[in-house]
Amino acid sequence: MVGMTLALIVMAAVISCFVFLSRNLARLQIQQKFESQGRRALLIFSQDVRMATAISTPTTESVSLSVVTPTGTTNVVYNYDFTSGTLTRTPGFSGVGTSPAMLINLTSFSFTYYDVFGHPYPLLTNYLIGIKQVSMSFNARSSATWNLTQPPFNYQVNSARVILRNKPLLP
Amino acid sequence: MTGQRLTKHSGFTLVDVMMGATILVVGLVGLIEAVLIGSEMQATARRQTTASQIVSNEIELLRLQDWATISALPAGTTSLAAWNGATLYHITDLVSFGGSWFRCIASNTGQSTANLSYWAIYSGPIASTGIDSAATFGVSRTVATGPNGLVEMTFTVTWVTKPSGSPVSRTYTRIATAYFGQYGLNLTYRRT
Repeated sequence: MVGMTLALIVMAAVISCFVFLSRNLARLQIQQKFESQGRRALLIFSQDVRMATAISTPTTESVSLSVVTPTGTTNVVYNYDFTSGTLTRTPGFSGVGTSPAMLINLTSFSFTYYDVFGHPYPLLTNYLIGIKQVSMSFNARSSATWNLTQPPFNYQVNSARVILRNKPLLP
Repeated sequence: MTGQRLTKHSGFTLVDVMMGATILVVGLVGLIEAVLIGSEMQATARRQTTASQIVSNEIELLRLQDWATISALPAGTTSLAAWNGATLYHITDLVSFGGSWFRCIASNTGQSTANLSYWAIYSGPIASTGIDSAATFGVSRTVATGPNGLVEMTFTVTWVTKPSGSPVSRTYTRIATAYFGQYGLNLTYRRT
């Protein structure tokens, strides 16, 4: 009886430890995935904005940047798809959504545009000429199915205001 | 084993079981500790991302300023702080007031943050760090004279965390130094 009791206690402890470890390792994996995709998106977005010579069709969910290439310029389109919760980056505009998703599991996303003084533009197209800074903010959330015993993991990022360095202030 | 015959009393003794259980517990405690450390490191990586964006935001902002504004910034360290009516604010200074953040866009003393001729509402990375309730971010700017007429700007982002269950707080900093020249030359170094 003593042996059985001890064995049960040890087994219970071992099983609960393994459950704890597996849950937390899965959580770490999700966090690391979000961190990686977030940093990558911030880096590529910053590079594109800094390189862009012009900006067109700015909305809170999409923007098109004219980026210089060795043979001229190409449009790089960023588009947030609300239904799939993804942000796509399409270089050389050939239809939105054809590129692999840059960010996934998004629950909210927005671009914000500012003038040279840092004032945000509430009405975008009317102030297209004056846009000199762009930032993006997003919130990604792990799906509820990865681990039903823990709340979903939230990952929120507000980027720096990146300057359109190559875009002239006046047309 | 072939020469031995199992007797009725052979098997593990209580001491054997206790020793095995002790070894198992030591191993599992190590594993759990490793997971907790990994979790803390992941949180640190996330805060590093935020700090990196805060620094980038400040340096990008200065790139938009003309030389007159850059050279007029006072030497020494200026920390982000609550708005004070008696303080002389320079362009690009950041203050908090009434739970919001404001960026100085025209040098002034005593101008209310509601006056948009002098202040712009700021919603950059540092203004949103409330999303991370376990850490509070601060930023300071140190202006010094650099080589060859350059202005040296050092931004220090600091945050303090106290891991759950730990009595000790940890302070992290991320530092970036940027040089600004009169004719547009600039260079940035970063270190953590």
